[in-house]
Amino acid sequence: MKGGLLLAAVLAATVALVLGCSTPEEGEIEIIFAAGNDPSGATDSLVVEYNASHPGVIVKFQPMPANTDTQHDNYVTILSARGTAIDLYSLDVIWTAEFAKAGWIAPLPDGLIDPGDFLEGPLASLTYEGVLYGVPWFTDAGVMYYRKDLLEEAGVPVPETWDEFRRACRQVALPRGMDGFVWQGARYEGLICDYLEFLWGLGGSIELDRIRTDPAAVESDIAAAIELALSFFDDGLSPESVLTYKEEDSRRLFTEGQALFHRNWPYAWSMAEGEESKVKGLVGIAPLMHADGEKSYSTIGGWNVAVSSYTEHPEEALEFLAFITSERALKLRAIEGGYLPTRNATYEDPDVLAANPHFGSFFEVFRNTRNRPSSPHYPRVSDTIQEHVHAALARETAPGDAAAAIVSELAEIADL
Amino acid sequence: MIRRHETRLALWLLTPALAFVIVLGAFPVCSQFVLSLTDLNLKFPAEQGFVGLSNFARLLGDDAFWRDLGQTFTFTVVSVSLELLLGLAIALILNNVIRGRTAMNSSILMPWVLPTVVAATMWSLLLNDRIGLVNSVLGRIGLTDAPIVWLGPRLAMTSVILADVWKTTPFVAIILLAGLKSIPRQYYEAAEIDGAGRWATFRAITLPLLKPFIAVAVLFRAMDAFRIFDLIWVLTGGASRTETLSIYIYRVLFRYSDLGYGSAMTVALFAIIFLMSLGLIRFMRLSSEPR
Repeated sequence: MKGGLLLAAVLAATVALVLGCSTPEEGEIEIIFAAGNDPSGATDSLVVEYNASHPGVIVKFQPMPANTDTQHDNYVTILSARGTAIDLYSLDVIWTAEFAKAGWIAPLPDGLIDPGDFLEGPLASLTYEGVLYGVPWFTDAGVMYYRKDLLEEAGVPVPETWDEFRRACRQVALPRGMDGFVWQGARYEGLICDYLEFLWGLGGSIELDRIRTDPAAVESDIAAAIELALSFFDDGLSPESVLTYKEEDSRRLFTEGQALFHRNWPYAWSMAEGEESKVKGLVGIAPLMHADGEKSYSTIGGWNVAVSSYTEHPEEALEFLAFITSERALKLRAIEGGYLPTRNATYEDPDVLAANPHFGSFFEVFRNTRNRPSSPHYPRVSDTIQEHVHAALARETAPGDAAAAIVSELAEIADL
Repeated sequence: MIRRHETRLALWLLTPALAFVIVLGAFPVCSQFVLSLTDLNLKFPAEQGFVGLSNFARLLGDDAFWRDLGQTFTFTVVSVSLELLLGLAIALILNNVIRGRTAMNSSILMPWVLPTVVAATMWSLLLNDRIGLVNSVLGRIGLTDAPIVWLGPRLAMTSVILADVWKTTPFVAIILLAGLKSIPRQYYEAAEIDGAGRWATFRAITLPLLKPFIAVAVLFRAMDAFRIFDLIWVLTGGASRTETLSIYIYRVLFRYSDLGYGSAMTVALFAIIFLMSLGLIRFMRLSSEPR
């Protein structure tokens, strides 16, 4: 009898000990924040700071795999099982509609942020059917890099329209045996970004709603943008190998000094200015080109933060969301990690500009950004455009046929 | 009495294997078939239901499916044929090597041992039009004046097949080498005494006796090639008419979370590979029966 009691006491003590190790202290709330890894350590130090000033709450930063698709699939697996393991998710701008429609992320309560403080494009990426689902965290947008030195030497101004661009390539790049224009044309998500910039710059648009109301107009927009991209090959501005290039392939050519113009994301700036670059100090940044009488647009990339619908601590999660997207947090991440902030004011902060002098030029570009089509079935939308645009650029199909196929398939997806 | 006892024992001994086959083989195939009769989508589970055979009807009218089936077929036939010819040649050479045999055997196996994703990444660097070794060598020896876009629209399928041949020929070679070793030396001695030439010996002795091994190699390779995913995924992502059925299925199942339609496609792929294998086995059996 005595022995039994003792055994029970030991067991109880062991259980308490084991449990005590794996859960926070009595009454403490644990919040898990999942996002892509931040090698600069800025996010980690923000989390430490937050925990120190918030007794009773422990936030843990859970770094996710770098590959975007892997992150997506991980999240889908957790959320489709209504998992509570993660309270806050960092989401790619193209995932909002899918996660919102599935009911995985919670609408943002009014008053948590002042929408006027944020860049318009990233904010729009978080809106699904008129409801805001999170807060923009850091952003990305396509920019045109060019060889400042070569344009100046030839006395050619930085082009704004595609016609001027073509002339600049003919005059400066082709006589030198350089490539005029390198970009991302492999069949993957990056092709969509580059292609939509062509399409928007011609005054076109490809929203799913517009496909419902005016399919013929969308079809001709799509075909026109394909023709524009084909002309880069026909005129010898872009090598055929662009059709196999992702970001790093085109970036390599540019920083090796083999191309005059280069469309890429802001990250390529630090590579162009890096020690191994052959074009260090010779590079300029410009908005993308557009047709005469139209406007330049850049495709938005970047990441937002949203609260899981299945979190057990929505209030604490929202409080941390406000902190991690606060001016202070964005500033620290901009200075230490080079992450492009989503708040307008951060671009005017002298400390941020001192650490990243090029942010000023990027801000110009970021004023005219647009989102890829929003759809809960975005992966299908993306694959459809990728497949047919790539086939047309590879001359496997005619531009008109590709455009017709895209419109009919997107119409089908829009009705799902 | 003893016989019955033995039968029962045999059944007992077979049970674990049978259980494995059912759990790992029959069950997934059946559940896949059940799934293929629904429109289950992991993202939007509220909208799911039983839809009968409509996924298969959709499959029949899906141009992408038929296009990818054709491309998969081309890839399989061309790459397996090349692998068989090259593998046979390598096996014949290795069989006659006397010195340094171990070193030869292990070096020839290298490509097969490499994980496919590693090999594919290596090939994508080798075939890169600007920084790749292949173009650099071709340019230096003066064979080409402009870089060849190996993974571009015109050559993508050729490059993918070459990479696959490089990767899996060793497998065929090793199986055929084992076959060659199993042919008794006396046959060759007898042929030599009869004054048969090399070609006659090869046709009358080597090839017929090697047939079961060729059958195994072709069967395994064809089944594998028909499901090819990783190599092409890394090299082209399925662009430029290199998309295979497995890549299409991956898109539907994992990118779109469309379990119903994706399962219908896997059932179709399973049926095609099953029938293809049955056909190959029959063909090999018929052609190797003594006449």
